[in-house]
Amino acid sequence: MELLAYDRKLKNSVLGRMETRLKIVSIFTLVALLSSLENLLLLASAAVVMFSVVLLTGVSPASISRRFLWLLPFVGFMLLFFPFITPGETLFTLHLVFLRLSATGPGLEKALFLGLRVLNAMLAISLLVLTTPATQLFHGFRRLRVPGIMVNMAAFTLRYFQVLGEEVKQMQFAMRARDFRQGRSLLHRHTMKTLGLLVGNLFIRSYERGERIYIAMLSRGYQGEPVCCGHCSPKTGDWLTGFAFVGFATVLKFVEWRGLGIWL
Amino acid sequence: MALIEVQALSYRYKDGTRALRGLTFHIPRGKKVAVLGPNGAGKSTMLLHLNGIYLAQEGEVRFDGELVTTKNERQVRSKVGMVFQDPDDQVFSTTVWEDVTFGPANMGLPDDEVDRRAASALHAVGMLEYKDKAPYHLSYGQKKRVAIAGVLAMNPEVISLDEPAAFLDPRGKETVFAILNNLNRQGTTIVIVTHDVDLAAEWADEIILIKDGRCLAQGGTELLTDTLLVEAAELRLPTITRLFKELGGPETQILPKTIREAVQVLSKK
Repeated sequence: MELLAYDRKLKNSVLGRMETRLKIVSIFTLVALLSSLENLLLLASAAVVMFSVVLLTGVSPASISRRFLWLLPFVGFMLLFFPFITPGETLFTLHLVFLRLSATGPGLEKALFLGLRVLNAMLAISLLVLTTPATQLFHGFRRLRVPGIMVNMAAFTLRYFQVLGEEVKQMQFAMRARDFRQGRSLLHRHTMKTLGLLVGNLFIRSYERGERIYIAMLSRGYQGEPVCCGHCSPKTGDWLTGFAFVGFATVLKFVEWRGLGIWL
Repeated sequence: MALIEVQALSYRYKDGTRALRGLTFHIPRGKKVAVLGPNGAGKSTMLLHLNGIYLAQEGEVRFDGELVTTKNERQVRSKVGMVFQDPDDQVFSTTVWEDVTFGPANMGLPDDEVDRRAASALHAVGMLEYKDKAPYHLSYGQKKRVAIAGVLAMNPEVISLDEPAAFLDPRGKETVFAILNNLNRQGTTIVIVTHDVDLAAEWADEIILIKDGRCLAQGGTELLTDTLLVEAAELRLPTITRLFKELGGPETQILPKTIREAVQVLSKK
């Protein structure tokens, strides 16, 4: 799994060259505004615009679809669930053995607009992550006064995810070598105990590794703060792009507010 | 005067375990030093005292005559570089280049100097073309070399390595030791911790034997042919030495420790 989503081919795109802090602030504002929209038509238009921006930036349809697949479990679950739990006029009913489930109109609408909100947020964050190398991204957050400990935790999780994954695999091989069979029912005591020990062990190993990494960092002069690169000055073009993002979302909010009487 | 002097150093872990008990030895300037001892002897704990990560609880550690304290621990760390046993503990950044620039950047050096040092360090270990690669895509040996480069970029006077040959294939071992020998020729003092007696006999100028947190002996590589000493240190004689012992011969003969010495002895006969 490629966690460092940065795509080097996008280095020279408008977003790839945009100053990081400005990028972070404008995209996060965009997400906040779009996520507060309630009108389905506006949400859908926003999604179309976002998708076009993504494609225009040069992101391959393959990579965006891969990211979309990650969303599917959550969005799919929502779409399935909400119609059946929201009260309102029934659209259709499902008969499943002893259950009678009724899907409501408002329920479906809710599911759709939540789904669209998530889609918009996903597209916006993808733009951020695909056009910014991980280090620059973390630097940007740090310069925006996000607490160092949070940024460091994110950075180290990224770096050590793979390493810890390998350790889990090794432990699993070692267990299998002693004839442990995974995949038995969750109620099987021996299985649960063994898996519990695996998780516990991983926790302790990660903790100890964290200690060793810290000592290694201290040995190379680390003092708690990453030293800034010194080149973080936004250009006019960057401000324009930032305003474009925020402006687009503001216009949609405005239309929703003003046009509320018509759409009700 | 020795570059590093350790006097009666004692250290106790938080859980009460005594790791070092009155350890005394010195690191001579410009030499290749091998510290040997069994597992649990306190070798790794000792190394962490050399670069000021652990400060002496009892006894003292002096670098170039000056006592190592909280006031000068940062300077000591820039002069004594430590390469850890597991490169995954040391190479933590998202790219090789970024990791190697970590040390010099922390020293507050200007950008161009940081870049120059990183390039030079990566070149010295033969990893310059991997500078944009992510560490988790590298092999163990490559990661080890990047870890060394990361320390090299700080231009230390001493480089200490904890089990540098561990898990490396023969080619990897050769590469690492070629790099270390090169550095030593340019004046860097090298300290390695190992329990590979053959490696120490072949490579080192000076041997320090540690057991149970105490220094058993310090001297040249001939220490490794002293059966009683080697047994006391829970090690074994170098393979060549054992071979010649088995072959028998006059008691006063000097037993060779390396292949080269063995060849000399045999060609005389």
